[in-house]
Parts: sequence; C-alpha cells; structure tokens
Amino acid sequence: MDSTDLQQRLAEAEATFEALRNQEVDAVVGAKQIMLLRLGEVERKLRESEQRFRVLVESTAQATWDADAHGNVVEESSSWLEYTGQAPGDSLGMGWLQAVHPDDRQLVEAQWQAAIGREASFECEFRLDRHDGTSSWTHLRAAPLRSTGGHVTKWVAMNVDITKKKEFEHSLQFAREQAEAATRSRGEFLANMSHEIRTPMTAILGYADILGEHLQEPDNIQCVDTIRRNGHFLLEVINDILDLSKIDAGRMSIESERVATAELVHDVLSLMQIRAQQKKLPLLVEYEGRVPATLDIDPVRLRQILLNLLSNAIKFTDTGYVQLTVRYIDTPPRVQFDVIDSGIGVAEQDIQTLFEPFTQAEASATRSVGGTGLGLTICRRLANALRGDIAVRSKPGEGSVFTLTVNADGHGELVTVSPLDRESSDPPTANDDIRLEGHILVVDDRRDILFLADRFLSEAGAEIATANDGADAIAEVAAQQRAGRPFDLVVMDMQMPNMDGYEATRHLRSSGFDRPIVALTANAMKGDRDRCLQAGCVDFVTKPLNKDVFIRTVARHLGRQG
Amino acid sequence: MSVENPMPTSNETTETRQLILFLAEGEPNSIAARRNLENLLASAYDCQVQVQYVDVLEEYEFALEHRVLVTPTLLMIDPLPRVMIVGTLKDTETVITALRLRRSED
Repeated sequence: MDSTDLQQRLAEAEATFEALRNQEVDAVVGAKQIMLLRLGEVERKLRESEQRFRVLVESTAQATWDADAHGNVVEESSSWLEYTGQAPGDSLGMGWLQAVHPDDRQLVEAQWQAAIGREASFECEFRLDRHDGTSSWTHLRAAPLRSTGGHVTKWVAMNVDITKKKEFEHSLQFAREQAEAATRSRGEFLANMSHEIRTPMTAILGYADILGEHLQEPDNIQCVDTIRRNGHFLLEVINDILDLSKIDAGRMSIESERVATAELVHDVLSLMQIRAQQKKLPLLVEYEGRVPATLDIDPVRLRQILLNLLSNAIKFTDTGYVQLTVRYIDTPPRVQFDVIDSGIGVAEQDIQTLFEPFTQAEASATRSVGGTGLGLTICRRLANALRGDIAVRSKPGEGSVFTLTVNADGHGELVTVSPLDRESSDPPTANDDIRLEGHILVVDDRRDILFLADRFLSEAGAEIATANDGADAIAEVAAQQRAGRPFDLVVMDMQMPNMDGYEATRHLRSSGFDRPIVALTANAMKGDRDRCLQAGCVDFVTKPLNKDVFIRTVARHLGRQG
Repeated sequence: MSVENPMPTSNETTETRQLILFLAEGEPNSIAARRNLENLLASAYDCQVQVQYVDVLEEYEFALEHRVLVTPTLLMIDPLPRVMIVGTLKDTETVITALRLRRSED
C-alpha cells in the first residue's frame, strides 16, 4: 500500500467515524432480520410514548417521586408539596412520612423499610393529611431501578388518590353489616311473631271447637267453620314463612334415614284422601316399573313436598282426577314422583315465576283457593336439599304435571309394588276414648289457654289445678305436696312474665319434684325442644293446642309413671 | 434507483468513478448527504463521475447486497478498492481524498 492509498483509506475511515460520532445516520438495514428502521420514526415514537406515559401518570397520580438506593427522597415532587401542604425541603429524606396520617405512619414506615431491605417492589394504602386539614386515601407504589450489575440505584414511586374507592368499600362494608344485622333480627322477629300469633290462635281455634260442639243451627255452624278454616289457614301461613326463613338462614337440617318407599307414599296418600273425597276427586297411585324398596332420605321433608304438591293438585282441580306416579331412574340413581292433575293448569309465561316466593299463577285463582304462594318455593328448596329438583309441565285448562326428583344413592333393592288399596287407608283416629286419671297442674299466664287446657283435660277425666306464673306454680306444687296430694303431672307454659317456665322447671327439679313436666310453647323455632328438655321437661307441646295431640301426650306421660 | 451524470469532466481523461449513495428518502441526514455530494461534484475533476441514488426504504435488499447497513452511505464500486463512507459527507476535502479525486487544474 503506497502513501496515496493509505491517505485515501484514512480519509474513508475518518469520514465514516466522524459521521457516526455525530449521529449522522437516519436508517438502519438489519442484515439478519432483513428489517429496516427509520431512526427518525423510532425517535418520534419514543417521544410519543414518553409523552403518553407522562400524561397518564400526571392524570392518575397525586405525585411521583424519586428516592436514592437507601430510600431517601432526593427529588421533591411539586405536586406532593401542593397536595400535602409540606414546605419545600420537608418531604426530602424520610420527611414525607410526616404527611402520612399519624395512625398509619408507623406501619407505612415499617413496610417501606422492609421493602428497601428486600430490594423488592412495594405498595400500600394509607391516609395522607392534606394541606386543608382533611385527609384522603392514597395508594403508594414504589419500585427499585437496577444497574446492569443488578444493584439498586434508585427508587421510583407514585401515589394515586383512592379516596373514592375507599369510600365505596366502606359503604359496601356498612351495607353488608346492616344486611347481616337485618338477617339476625329477622330470625328473632320471626320467632317472636310465631309466638305472638300462635298463642292467640290457640284461643281462637280452641273456642271455635267448643262453640261448634254446642251449635245445631246450620248457619251458625257454618260461621264457626269459617272461623276455624281461616284460623288454620293463618297458621299455615306462619308455618310456611318460618320454614322459608329457616331454609334461607341455612338452619333447616336435613336428616337421612332408611325409609320404606311404599309406606311413605301410602301415608301421604291417606292424609290427602280426605281432601280428595271432599272434592269428590279420585286420588290414584301408580308405580311404573320396579322401585327401590327403601330410600336413604329425610322422610319428613319428602313427605312435606309430596303433601304440598298433592294438596295443590287437589286445590286447583274441580273435575277429573289427581294421580301420583312413582318411578325409578338409574345413572344417577334417583326416584321420580309425578303429581298429575286435570285441573286449571298454568300458562307458560307463569311457569317461570311459579317457584318464586309470594307468587301465584293467577290472582283470580288465588282468591278462590287461598294459599300463601310460598308452598312451591319451599318445595323446590327442600327438593334441592334432597339433592333433587322440581319441574313442571302444564297446559291451561288441561292440567299440570309436577315432577319431583330426589337422589336415591344407597337405595334398597328394586321391587315391584302394587298400589295399595286406598279403601283401606284409615281415617285419623280421634282420642275421644282416651281417659285420663290423675292430678294435673296447668301453668300459663293467659286465662284463655288455662281455660282450654283445663277443659280438654277435665273432659278426658283428669283433676285439674291452675297457676298463673312460675312462682305461683312452685308454691302450688309445694302446697299440694304438704297436703299429701302431689300432682301427677305439670303442663308448663315456657313464656311467662315474672318467672318463666324454664326457671320454674329448673327450680322444681332442684327441689326434688320428679313427676313429668310437659312444656307448652308457641316457639316453633328449632332448638326450643332441646331447651325445654335441658330445663327438665320430659316432652313438648306447641301452641296452638291441638286437642288430640295434647291429650295423647299427657296420657303417655301419665301412663309411664304408673 | 436513479443514475445521474452531472459531471462536467475533463476531455483528456477516460477514467470513471462509479458511486452509489444509499439514502433513506426524506430523512434529514440523507437529504444533507445528497446535497453535499451534489455540491462536491459541482467542481470539475480529472475523471468522469457517475452517481446512482438508492432509497433503502424501497430497495433494502440492494443495500444488503452491498453490505450497507446504515444510511446515508456513499459507496464507490469502481475502480477498486471499494470505498465506503457513512454520514452526511459534509467534510468535502476528506471525501475527495477518500474517493481519490483530483480537481482539474483549470
């Protein structure tokens, strides 16, 4: 290479070197990627993206700030000072913590120090005291920036105002607490309402019974029947509402026991037979194919659903028939009960709402047949509890089919069942022939209940004394004991003023009274029975007083002590 | 791609310089490079100069064939050895030396 060549090469290199040093380059052609970049465009895009980021940060953040590797704020944010009212310089180092609400300061400082120690991103929510004396919620987010060697060189942080979000959260929390309180008080309210309504109902229904026995005039008898019918209806309403609220509160317990399928179906049908006969409707049963001889199921709930569906079917059918069809379906094992009627039916648009609380298909139908509109809601929820469901097919004017399906896991062997002869179903037996012998104390604060209980028991042959509250009862028991004529049994109302039934029962038991005490209560809520037994009662009768049940219960306990 | 021969050349030479200027059309450095080259070639030299302008945004494969990776780049493909100068060519004297050009004496 001669000197001219060398000079020329140097010039070539110098020109290129200068150009690169001065960044006189505006496009790159990537050999490997076969791509092409307009540097100007890249720069424009970078500028744009940076601008967009800045706008975003400025519009969402209260403040952005930088801290050194040790977490000391080195660059003060003017928006922070404006927001908090701190003087210039006051937020440097750890000074910004002074603007944090005193209740939150210690926690924020500890978390910040921990993040610096861990060299990990950090976020927390706390209150900031503002320049105008108010405080507002802020969300702080800080992240470490690292050198290529991985060392933290500084921290960048951003505060975002979350006061509105916090207010919303608090309002939600408040609403939830209120709803929970409302649910609790609803339970208490229902228990109380149940008591308040059942107790007077005892008097109304009891006196209607007594009055009915004295009347001969058909018009008068009809009046008493109306009182009785409506009284029973009102009781049904109360029972339905209690049931529904128990299911809603998750307090309805579902038992499981082995039940003979055909027997349960027979029981249900014989209970419904009377109603069907009153409307001159045949009530039929059919077993389609073989069905499980036994089911592991809650018999009370299954019976409740079937009774409800059948009673509806009878209620809404004037001519034709009502039929219950039972069949078994495997995979998965389940038993299906079809309640078929030839009644008024349900229009398609009403089927959707049929299972919602307080809905009846047609207002005009409701008026003529009554009902709370809660029955089907309860049935469906009970069916769900039995791991099944209820479906309905219907045509207005032609009738309906309500299909109850229940889980049949663990069922017994499959057998052929022939429909039991419905002529053989026994009418419920009355207690007219039960005779009571014994000396009984009836304790209640209400005169009408005392009168009814006295009358029912006296008619059956018992000798009755009465007391108005717990203290009165204790005195009476002691007096008769001294006189050598101790009571054979005590019927004790549990809700009484002064000394209630629970306390009186405990007192009697601790003083050595060992005869049966039968509790009388209007509370239908679960757990009441246990409470009565714990106090020392041997049994439990709910208001309103059902004459048959009452006398049978008393007779059973009088008999036991010989 | 365009080939221009704006050169007033001296009559006694038959020697030719073949140049290609790789550009990114519309970008400021490329515009400057083209302007500087045209100014430079406005003078008379002792040889003929042919210049071809290539927009790499249109013909990047042509740039790759010549191993040109950035714009603006001026490439002299004839006579050999090849000369490659990157940048805006604003230092006229250095460019003239690199291209082995000699101004005509008149």
